[in-house]
Amino acid sequence: MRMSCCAGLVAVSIAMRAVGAQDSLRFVGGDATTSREVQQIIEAAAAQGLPAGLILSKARFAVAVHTPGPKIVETAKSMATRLVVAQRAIAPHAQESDLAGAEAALSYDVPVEILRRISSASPKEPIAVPLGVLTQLVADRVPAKRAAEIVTDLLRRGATLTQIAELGNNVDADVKIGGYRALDAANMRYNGLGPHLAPLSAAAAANEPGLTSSSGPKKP
Amino acid sequence: MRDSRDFREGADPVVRRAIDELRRLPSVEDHVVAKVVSAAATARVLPPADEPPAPVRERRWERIAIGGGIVAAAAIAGFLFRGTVRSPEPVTVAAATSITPASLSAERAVAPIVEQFIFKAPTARHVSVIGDFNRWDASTAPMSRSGDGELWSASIPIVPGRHVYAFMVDDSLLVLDPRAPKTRDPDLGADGSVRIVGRP
Repeated sequence: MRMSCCAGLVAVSIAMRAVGAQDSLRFVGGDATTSREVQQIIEAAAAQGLPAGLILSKARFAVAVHTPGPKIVETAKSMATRLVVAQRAIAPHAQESDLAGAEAALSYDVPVEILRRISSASPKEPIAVPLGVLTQLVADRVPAKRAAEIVTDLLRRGATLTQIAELGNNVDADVKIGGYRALDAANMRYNGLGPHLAPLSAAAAANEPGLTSSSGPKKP
Repeated sequence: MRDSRDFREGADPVVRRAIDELRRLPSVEDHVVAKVVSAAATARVLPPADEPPAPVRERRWERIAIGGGIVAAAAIAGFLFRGTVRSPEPVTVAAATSITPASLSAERAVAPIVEQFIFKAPTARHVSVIGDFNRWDASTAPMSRSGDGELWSASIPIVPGRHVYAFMVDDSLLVLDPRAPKTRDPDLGADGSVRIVGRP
């Protein structure tokens, strides 16, 4: 009796998990060919252990903004490729939100090396927020190198995720509401945080010469 | 914790399979297991010594009912958690490790934060907030209309990070948040509103 109960419980649980997984990763949108091809990409990504839900999400966004089918498929493929690169770049970080942040950064052409630096600057903490701020700074046209310097420096000096997120949101508001240049706004906001953070240790500064700048890049 | 390999030795093949399958399930915290075990022990009622044992036939039906109940409970639990457990991704079974401040803060850093979205749409019949946090699924985050009927609001738990979103008005019109910066998706060339969620 106990054996059959146990076996029944396991069977039902496995069946429900399988149904749930299929349901939660099902893409319906665009024409039949697009749906099928995107679904194949999602399933292949899931089989590789990638967070395939991110591809599903992007495909649904694409449908919501009326993207043509072939473009949706192409985007899903690019995203799957970027997820593989992101997974390697930020290991051992493996949270879906960290991978989403790394993948988004790659989509804005942030070099893989920068992702590695951010990952190693915060090896035990989630990096979705620093990566998100990095991505947003780059999306606002702050050069990737300077954006990476700011974010990595904040991490090494013990800035909280709230402070880092605030910097990102403030720069966004400076650009959108104030009409300021993103690079100037980023440097100003970064300098404003400086007094509230620990100084960069000599060892860290020696390892990362680009991080010692507290006033932003020198203008020619 | 005793290794489940101990139970496998000399066990029936069905039980061995069950053990193998259970080992693949997500880990459960020890204190939760302890609570369940203690509740089960408390609830267990033994018949008085002088009471004659129930007829075999009756007991069999009793066992079938209990078994059915367990299976039904498992089915309901499986249904409820189907969105949260993704079987294609590897599920690591955590060993009994000590909880360090670093792991606690890491856990805290990925815990969702409730974020409020507000949107003005006096003539809309219904509005949803959609974004990467709900996989762009309009059915998951319908907004509620305020008393005066002009503003719509929704509060949604979101994991920290950068999130792109928009409002879906009357199931057909995608509108950006006028209060938020917009960002252009490099793959699609489409705009979305962006919000960076940190810790409160």
